[in-house]
Amino acid sequence: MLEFIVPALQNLLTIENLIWINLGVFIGSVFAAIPGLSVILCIILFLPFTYQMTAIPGMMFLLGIYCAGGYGGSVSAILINTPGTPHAAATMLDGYPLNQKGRTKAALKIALYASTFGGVFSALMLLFLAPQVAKVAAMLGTADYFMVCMFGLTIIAGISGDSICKGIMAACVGLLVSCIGADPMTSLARLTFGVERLYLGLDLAICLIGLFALVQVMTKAEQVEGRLVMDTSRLKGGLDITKEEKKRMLRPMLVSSIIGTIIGIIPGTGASMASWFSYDRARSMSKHPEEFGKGSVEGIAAAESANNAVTGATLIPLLTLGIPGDGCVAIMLSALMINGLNPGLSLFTEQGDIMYAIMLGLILVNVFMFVQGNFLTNLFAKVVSIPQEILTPIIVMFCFAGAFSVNKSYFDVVVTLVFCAIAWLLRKIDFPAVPILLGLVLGKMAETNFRRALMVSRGSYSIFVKSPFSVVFLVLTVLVIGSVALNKVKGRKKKNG
Amino acid sequence: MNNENKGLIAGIDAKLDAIGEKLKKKEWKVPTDLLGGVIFLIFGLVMLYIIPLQVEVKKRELVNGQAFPNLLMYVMIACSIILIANQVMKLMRKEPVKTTTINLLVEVKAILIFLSMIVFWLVAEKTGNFAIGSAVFGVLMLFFFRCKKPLYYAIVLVAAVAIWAAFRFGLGVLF
Repeated sequence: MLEFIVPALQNLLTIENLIWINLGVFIGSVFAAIPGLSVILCIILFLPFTYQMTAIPGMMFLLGIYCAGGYGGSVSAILINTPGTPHAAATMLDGYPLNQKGRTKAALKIALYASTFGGVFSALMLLFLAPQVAKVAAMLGTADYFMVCMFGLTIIAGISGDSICKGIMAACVGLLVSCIGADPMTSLARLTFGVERLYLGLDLAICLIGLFALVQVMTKAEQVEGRLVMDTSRLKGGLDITKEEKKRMLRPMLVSSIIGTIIGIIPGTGASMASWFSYDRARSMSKHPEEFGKGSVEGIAAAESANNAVTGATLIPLLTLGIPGDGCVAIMLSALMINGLNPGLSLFTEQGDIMYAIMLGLILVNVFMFVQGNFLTNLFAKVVSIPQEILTPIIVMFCFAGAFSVNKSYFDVVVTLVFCAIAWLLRKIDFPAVPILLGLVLGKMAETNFRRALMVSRGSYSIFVKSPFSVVFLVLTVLVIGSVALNKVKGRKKKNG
Repeated sequence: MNNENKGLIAGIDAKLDAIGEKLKKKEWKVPTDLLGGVIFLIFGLVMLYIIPLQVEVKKRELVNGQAFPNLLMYVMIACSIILIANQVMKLMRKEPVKTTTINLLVEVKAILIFLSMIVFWLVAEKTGNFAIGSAVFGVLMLFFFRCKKPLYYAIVLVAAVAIWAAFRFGLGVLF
């Protein structure tokens, strides 16, 4: 590891990278602060930009968006009692009451300090844990890899919607779409329906623009959010965080960072679960539980440090096994792979200078998030006030420009429109879209390993239960399905009294 | 804006409001999971028919290119059947099933937005200039929002050109 640190720092500390980090942090903070826009949407919109970049600046830009998104959501949660992102909802419970007490500046600073602490903690965990996990990943065979994919897909399918069946069906759609184009093993055409262009397959960014970004615009048909006006004058006055409050923040920040990191490593869980779980834990551990919900310093610190602690942790399964911890990092995988960086041990040995630059860069991202949060929150709040009438067409223009730029073809724009229509239909029948994304990301890896394993075993499915790793992941998959089903039954019994 | 134009716009607004009110009243409750299960079941069956026609395979392949898509469709069909059976059992037990409300006004608006996006693509492709497509779409969206502020139109048009310029000169995308 140490031999890579110096070349990694040389790769990382360039003016270009610092500019992209700051741009990413700024854009991520603004997007996350606007209710209705999400971090995933922001990453999808800017993904095509990164296709023109090399690995380090591209990843730094996306990680800047991703990490700042963790903090940005808290700005609107604290200022206008509306969480910019779902995971900022826990922050809102105490952030807004503290703002109402005239301590807006303190509330925002607590959120910023806690977010930075959680983010840096998580980045350090990534730096030390990922190479170790990669060593274990190197021991996995093709059958094991297929089981890892199945486990990742099942857990995400189980958690992302209200029904595991619907999640699995959606994941199957994503996996099927990933089959379009040349067969990865024989290069024969598959599901191209005579369209030559489809032989190259469908680019992930193009599918995602339709699935997540354009469909977001379609939701304007359901409800047009009014213009958000944030009172920036409140940011200047009021009492800052006191020394005693800073002391009280420490324990919940540390505990929540650990919780956030553990939750982040488990695929499909995400920042919302981490922030709610940590908030609850902080309340039960607090000497002042009565303050929770009324502007508790510990409440804000716990929720914010947990949701940012997820950011580095989600990268651990991504970089080592190729299993994304959440939807946002799933998209980042394509930014890595387009630069020839494939998850696994080789990433840490053969391309260690790049990989360590990215991991160290995550610490830098959090540092710049802290700097921007300290000086630019006023500006974030003003940008958030952009009217929806202006923002909506601009998003679509970005979507189409991004889709076109991937292959310089209007065919891709049509593909985004098709995926937008599919996403709208899925939305109507209440099917989750995130498993489709995971299916798209994991499709090639799952299929290649599935077929290779069966070739090795001469067609015998017993290969998927032969190695201890395969058995472990099979058991985990069954446990996930079992626990989701059990929770459903319990929920139903509770409902029926 | 003179009084005559103001009157005309107010008249159009009133007509649109009246149409909107009529459409808003038309809505249907749809059992989402049952409908979703049926849609995916049909999709899975159709794909099982299509896959052999659309996936070329080499002879003597132990695991060919059809194996994985077929496996996916079997899983999808199995899940659809479970979902449908679950919903039918609920209906038989007279338990409430999950429904969603389809409102005609919302769907018409969604179709209008989608059509505007199609217009965007067509104009951009036919003219060979992305900025023109963007500008047309921007104006259509502002009409959709019934925006009457000239400043907003100006901002959106400037944004259309700026995005085109950023991709054209910043990233070298010729469109």
